[in-house]
Amino acid sequence: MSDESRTRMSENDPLFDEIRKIKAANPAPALSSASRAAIVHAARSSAMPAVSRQPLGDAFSALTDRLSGGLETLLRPVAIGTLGLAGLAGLAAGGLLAAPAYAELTPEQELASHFEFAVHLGSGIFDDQTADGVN
Amino acid sequence: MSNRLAVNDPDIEFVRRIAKGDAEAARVLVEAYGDRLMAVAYRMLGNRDAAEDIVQEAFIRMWKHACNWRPETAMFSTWLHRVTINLCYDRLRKASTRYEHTAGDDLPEMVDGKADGLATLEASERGSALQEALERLPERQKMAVVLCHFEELSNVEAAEFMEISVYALESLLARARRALRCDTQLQDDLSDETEEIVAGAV
Repeated sequence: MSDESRTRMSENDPLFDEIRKIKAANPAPALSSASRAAIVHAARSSAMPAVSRQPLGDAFSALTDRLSGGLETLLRPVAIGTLGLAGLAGLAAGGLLAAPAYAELTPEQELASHFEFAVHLGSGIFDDQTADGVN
Repeated sequence: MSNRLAVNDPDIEFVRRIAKGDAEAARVLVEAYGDRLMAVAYRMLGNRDAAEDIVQEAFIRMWKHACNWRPETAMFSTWLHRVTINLCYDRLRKASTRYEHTAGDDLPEMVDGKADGLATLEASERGSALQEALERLPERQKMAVVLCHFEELSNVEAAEFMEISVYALESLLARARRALRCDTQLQDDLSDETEEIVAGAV
């Protein structure tokens, strides 16, 4: 049975004619002009630049184009300050990650590593003192 | 399939313009679909103010997602109807804040002096009775009746809007028709009995 024939079956239902008569006598109200205006206004105010679909530079340009001059000058120092803080945070994080490599060595292990380094280079700097110390 | 949807959707250009904040494009879509959605919401909720809220919410959700709109997923009008339908379901499920529909509150004013005034009044009363019977239906049955009988959509369109199969829609319609017939017939019988009692008293 096709979809069209099913639709015709529905239209043959006596209740369908009854509803059509009643609908003509009691029409649904139209959307009010106030609601229309509110919806159209919301379209203007809720529009956003499609940041996810643009390269970062274009997205930033689109954003700054939409900003007024005063707001733009206000936001620029904030953006620069944010980048600076992010850089400092990155440096601090790098230091924290590097520090445990040294902290994990005992004094003896550290001395041994110096000794091996000196032997590898063929230098006799540590031969007398450090080798005795380690042994 | 996806390309066909994208090419055949007459609203896609308006949606793209709305994503850029074009109020004129928004106005065109509101003119095209506003009254239709209002009718669906009104028949579902039986209350004009609630229906206005639902339609506003549906459009505003569309505006917010216009920049991420993917035309290959569904026609714009289908999506808009689905949002409206789901908002109606949500509203109906809030049983504690269910609207008290007063029969006749939202019906058009009767015009005195018309030759067929009595017939109009009778039709209005029948409409009110049917609206009340409709409100007693389970929400999905009610939506099926509203879309197929009040909005006169094809079963295929209605099923697509409700995100169900045509067979499921047919089943909903059959159950709804049975319930409406029983409900309105019961009211007619009660009305006839009342008239007989009044006539007997006079």
